[in-house]
Amino acid sequence: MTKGADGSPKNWAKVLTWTLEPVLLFCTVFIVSHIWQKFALSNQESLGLFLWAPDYLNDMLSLDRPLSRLIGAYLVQFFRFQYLAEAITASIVCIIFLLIRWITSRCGFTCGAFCTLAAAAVWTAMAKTTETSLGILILLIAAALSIACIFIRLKEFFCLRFALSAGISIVLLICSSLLIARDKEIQSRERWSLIEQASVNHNWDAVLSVATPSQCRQDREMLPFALLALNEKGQLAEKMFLYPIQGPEDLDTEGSSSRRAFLFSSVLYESLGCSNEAIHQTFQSACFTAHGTSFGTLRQLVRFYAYRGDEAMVRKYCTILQRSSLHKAFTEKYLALIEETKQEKAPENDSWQRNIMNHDQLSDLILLQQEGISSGITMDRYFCYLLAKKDINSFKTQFELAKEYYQTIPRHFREALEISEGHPSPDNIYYMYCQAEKGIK
Amino acid sequence: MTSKILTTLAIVLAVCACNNSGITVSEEYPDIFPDYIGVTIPASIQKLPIRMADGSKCRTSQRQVGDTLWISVTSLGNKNCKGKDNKYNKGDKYNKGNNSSKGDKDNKGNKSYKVRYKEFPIYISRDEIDPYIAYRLIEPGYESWNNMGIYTRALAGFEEKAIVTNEANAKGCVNCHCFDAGSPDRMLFHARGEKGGTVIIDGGSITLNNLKSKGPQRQGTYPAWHPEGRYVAFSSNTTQQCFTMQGDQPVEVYDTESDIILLDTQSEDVKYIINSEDRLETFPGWSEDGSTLYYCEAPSFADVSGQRGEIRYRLMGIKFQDGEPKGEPFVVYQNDSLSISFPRAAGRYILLTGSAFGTFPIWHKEADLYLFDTSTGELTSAETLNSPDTESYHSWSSNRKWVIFSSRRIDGRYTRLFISHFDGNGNFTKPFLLPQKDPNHNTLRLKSYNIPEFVKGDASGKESKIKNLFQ
Repeated sequence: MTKGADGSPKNWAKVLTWTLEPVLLFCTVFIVSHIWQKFALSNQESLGLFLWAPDYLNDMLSLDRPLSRLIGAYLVQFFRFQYLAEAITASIVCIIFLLIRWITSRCGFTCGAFCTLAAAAVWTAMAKTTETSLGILILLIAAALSIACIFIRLKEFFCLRFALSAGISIVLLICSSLLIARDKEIQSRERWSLIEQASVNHNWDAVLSVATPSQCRQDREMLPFALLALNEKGQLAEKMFLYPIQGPEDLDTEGSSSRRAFLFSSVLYESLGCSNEAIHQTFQSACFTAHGTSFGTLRQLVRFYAYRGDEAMVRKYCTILQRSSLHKAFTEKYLALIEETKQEKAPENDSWQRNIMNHDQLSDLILLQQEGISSGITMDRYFCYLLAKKDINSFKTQFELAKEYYQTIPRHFREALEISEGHPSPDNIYYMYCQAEKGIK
Repeated sequence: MTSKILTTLAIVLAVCACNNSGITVSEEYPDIFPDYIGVTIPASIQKLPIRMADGSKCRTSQRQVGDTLWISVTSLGNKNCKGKDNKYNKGDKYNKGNNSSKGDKDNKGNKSYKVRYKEFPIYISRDEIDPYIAYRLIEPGYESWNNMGIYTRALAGFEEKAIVTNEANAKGCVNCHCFDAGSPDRMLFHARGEKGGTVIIDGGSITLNNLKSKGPQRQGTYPAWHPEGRYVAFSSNTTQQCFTMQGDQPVEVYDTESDIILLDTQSEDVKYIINSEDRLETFPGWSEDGSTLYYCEAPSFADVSGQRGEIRYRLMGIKFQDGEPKGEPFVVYQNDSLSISFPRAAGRYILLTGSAFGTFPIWHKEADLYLFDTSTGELTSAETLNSPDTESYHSWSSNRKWVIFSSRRIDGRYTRLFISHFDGNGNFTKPFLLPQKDPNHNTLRLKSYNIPEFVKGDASGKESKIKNLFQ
């Protein structure tokens, strides 16, 4: 190569030397995040919170490493948009790379591959822990060291040839990508993030695309979500026993005290039209988030209170969400909605006459019908519970009364009726379920 | 000619109505949040920050004439507000803007000029108020919680300090704080969960007491410190809750068992003082001289959740002397349509909460405060204090001239604190919302205030010692 003015091969090589690795790094992180982590990243936003509100800021400042947590929480709110989430993640990793390269070059150590190794390690750790604030912490430390390095200029004592460095960097990035792509925990988190978000957004097809019968065999926690999705699509009585059901307890998460179990219950009771219980379960689920609430929780509460026509609560939560960066459209939508649907009503005097939750799905479904908030979903669910309990006699008796509501009798109901009449057909899936001992399937 | 004169006059009047900085004068009171129009405040409270109820900012000026502060409010219109037209950012849901003169709107619907409203009075009482208050902050959830704590703040300022948070006991519950006659150096609270118990702070001594290991082996719930400071009466409740499928009241909290026990802080003995199999006794509270213990009582039911609408507590009393109950309990007040809780005595009066049924009024929208006159046996609604939403826990200042109480009137769920002056003859003044540096804090805070109590000094600064109890 010859020396020359701008645009000469020498300058192009220099530009390439300085930009190839960070560009490669940015693209790799962006693409890998988009393919294997997009739902996990946006779920971070649902579980996170950032508000310009005194209580929140005081709370953050009382934690250890408050600055990185605050910046992390601020950035995570933009993860609501998938491409932005991936771009921010890639940018954090890239800036760490550039800072480390600056620090090492000032210390007389020029090795892009080393910087790639450090940046890739941070990226992998962020992917494993879903802790964006971890990346921010490293970035802040690197930034502080970079500033210190302004005053340091050591003679270069090591310089890895660019081609070799780039080669090693590419290998490192491939290894990191494979590590993230093949990591069981990351894969599972991605699946669950999709299921959680799709359930909250009532995207039942997306739930079923992940919570397939075979996937449910590997992770039985998915069953309630899959069965609720079928229920919502009107297919519960058609396909329920294609899933690895072992008993009626597979239809819900009763008795489980995890954030996900409460999230499921809130979505379930929303589906059943029981807003009191949906709100109750949302509050329960919120207790598992870092600040006792999260963007996801607040959005759900806005939805549920809007459904109830409770103007004061919708306004309160919208005012709070307006203290974040990306909820303008959301709050405007619900504030306009509540203007139209708000209910001015006198306080109830007969609240003691209201039915109470038994936390036994069968009796609760009956009580819901008594409360007059029954729907096709409730009815399908009720009969499917009876089938899951293998209580064919009760099913038959009660289905007789409800038969007129079904234009065509769903498959599993038909199969149950066949069994009750004593001649199940060979392709009777429900018969196989009834014959199977618990735990064998 | 006449029409020309009239036109000129109209122009002159219009110019007079607007000063040269473009301010229009309104003859109506401003629609502000919090609503401090006509409230009575203690002299120690210097600042009552407000905003317009529609969310916009305003400028205030004040002049004092005798014991009355006259506040002039000028709304600053839209340009000082965030967003377009914060009409959604209402304050008190029962005091929504019905004010017609909020300024003209431009073609985008935004307010375009400032309005100066009619001056409104705030009355300053010469009666002193305790300098501090204490309360618990907790999310208004159901069964679980995240962060909670018992806090204190000086009424003269806005700084809030933790007395204890549940960081001390591994996120367990901390509740039912109680002070000995408002002393910041003598207080107790319960810490639930593993290694839990009743924490008693007595000067420099901080101890964790397991009441369940003593006497009747019952843990304490609602406390009431005897005015002379030696004894503490506790109700001991077995509490459960049920959740309604529909309706305004999402949860009912009830007791399946409750009795009253007494702790002698000198001997550390615990004993029953009110205990029966077929009755529920709860909410102890002493007469001002300590000669009578008031409490609430209801018959127990086999199916409490199913029959919750039939459970009504009546107000009972029993004489007390030298650490012993004297004589038989007597009915102080009974009403077949009202369930009574939190009796708090001030001279001949007892301020209490009344709800349609049950023992946990904070979830009852119909719950209100009532004043019972022991000299006449009459119960009257403390109408000045009440709202269409819940009013519940309340306590008196040490001179019984002020009352602080919790209410859900702002949004129906998040409990906020209100303070009112009492004239000693059964009359309260319009209550004022506990001032916050930024009035929006009342909306932004995602926690409820529980158990407000007046305190004579700063009770904070003991958290690390308290934390050591649970190590």
